[in-house]
Amino acid sequence: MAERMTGSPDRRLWPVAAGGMLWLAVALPPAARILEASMLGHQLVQIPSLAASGYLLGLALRPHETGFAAPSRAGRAGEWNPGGLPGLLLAVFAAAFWMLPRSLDTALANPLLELAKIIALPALVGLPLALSWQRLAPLLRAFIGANLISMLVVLGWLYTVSPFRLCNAYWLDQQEDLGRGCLVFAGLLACFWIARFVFRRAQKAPAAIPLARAAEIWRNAP
Amino acid sequence: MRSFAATVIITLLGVSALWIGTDGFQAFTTEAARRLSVTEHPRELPDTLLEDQDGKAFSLASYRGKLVLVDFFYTRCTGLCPELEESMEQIAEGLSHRLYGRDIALLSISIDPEDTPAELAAYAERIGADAPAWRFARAADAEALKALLKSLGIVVIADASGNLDHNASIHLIDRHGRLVRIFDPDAPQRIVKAISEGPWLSG
Repeated sequence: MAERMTGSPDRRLWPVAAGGMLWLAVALPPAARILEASMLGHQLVQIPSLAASGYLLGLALRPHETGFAAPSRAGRAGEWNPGGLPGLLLAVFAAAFWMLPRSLDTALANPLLELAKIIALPALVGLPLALSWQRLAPLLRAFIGANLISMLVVLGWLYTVSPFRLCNAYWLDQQEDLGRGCLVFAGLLACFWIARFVFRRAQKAPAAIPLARAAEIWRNAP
Repeated sequence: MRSFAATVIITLLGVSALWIGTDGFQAFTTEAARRLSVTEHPRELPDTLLEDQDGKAFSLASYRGKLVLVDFFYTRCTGLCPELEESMEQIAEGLSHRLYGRDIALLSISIDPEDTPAELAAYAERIGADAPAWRFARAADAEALKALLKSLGIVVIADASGNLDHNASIHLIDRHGRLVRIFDPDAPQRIVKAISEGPWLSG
């Protein structure tokens, strides 16, 4: 894989630096303790940030590719993750495990599990996602995006209406805050997704033909 | 081929991790895991010294030979405790007169070391609890309370104002003093049915 990394060292340095700084900012005390003091800070800030730090690192490790239909796809046949599906599955399973309310409680109660969390989220969620995302079929990417938004809405609703605490370590009020946070986050993601879709459509739209040129084409038509 | 193998291996490892992490997809929360663990492996409890609303000292072991339904509360609680005590009241009403008091007792233990017997008595009176069939009590000291909560797997958290939050559940202790079941307080009639038809009365 190393020989296929064609990006310049400078271009690969910034994601490593940004990922490392993000990891240090959210994984170590005292910031970690502050974030973990609230359910919203733990599940909606620290956990996604840890995954994002791995994603940034993955951008630096990612071979230079132009996307799903890149010509190099045939050359990737011998790799373990040519179409991105294994990497995506790894990220999905690891994220699902660390989203369990039980995992949050255990991480807070057991320092070894806390260590596992701050290593696993970048290494098993963010990193494989960065190495797989561009290789995925556009339809699959859209499916994952839609699924993420709908899952956030369901989780947000569940956390908001549940009369019982899902995590032993947090108050019911904090659970409701997380629920509202998930709903807001889902809304922002949906807005971002729609805005990007509209922007890309506008970019791909054919340029308007000047009227005189259109008349000329009309005259020359057989 | 390598990709297919990787997909299969990752799927197997991922499903296994989730299976282990949720006790076979049965327990997604710590509370659900605690309930499942007690159902599968009843726990011995420490013989805790308690003091009831009349200031009388007694031990948890003094209930040996009876089934005891235990819940936790504190007198200043305005959250789930009143609903929990309402469930206990409905259980008391639902149990047959032949069983209630003689074979089955109710015990509400305060998690607030600052609750006094007088406050417990006022709380019990407000609810209409009929001692000794249903007693309100506090642990003899903070250490005894801590050991009891730990053995039951109950987590108590406090906010900056001193308000407490804890597992909302009703615990069944069998005639041998073992914690054998943890019930959801939502359905008191289901608890009455489970006790009346379960194996514990004859055990």
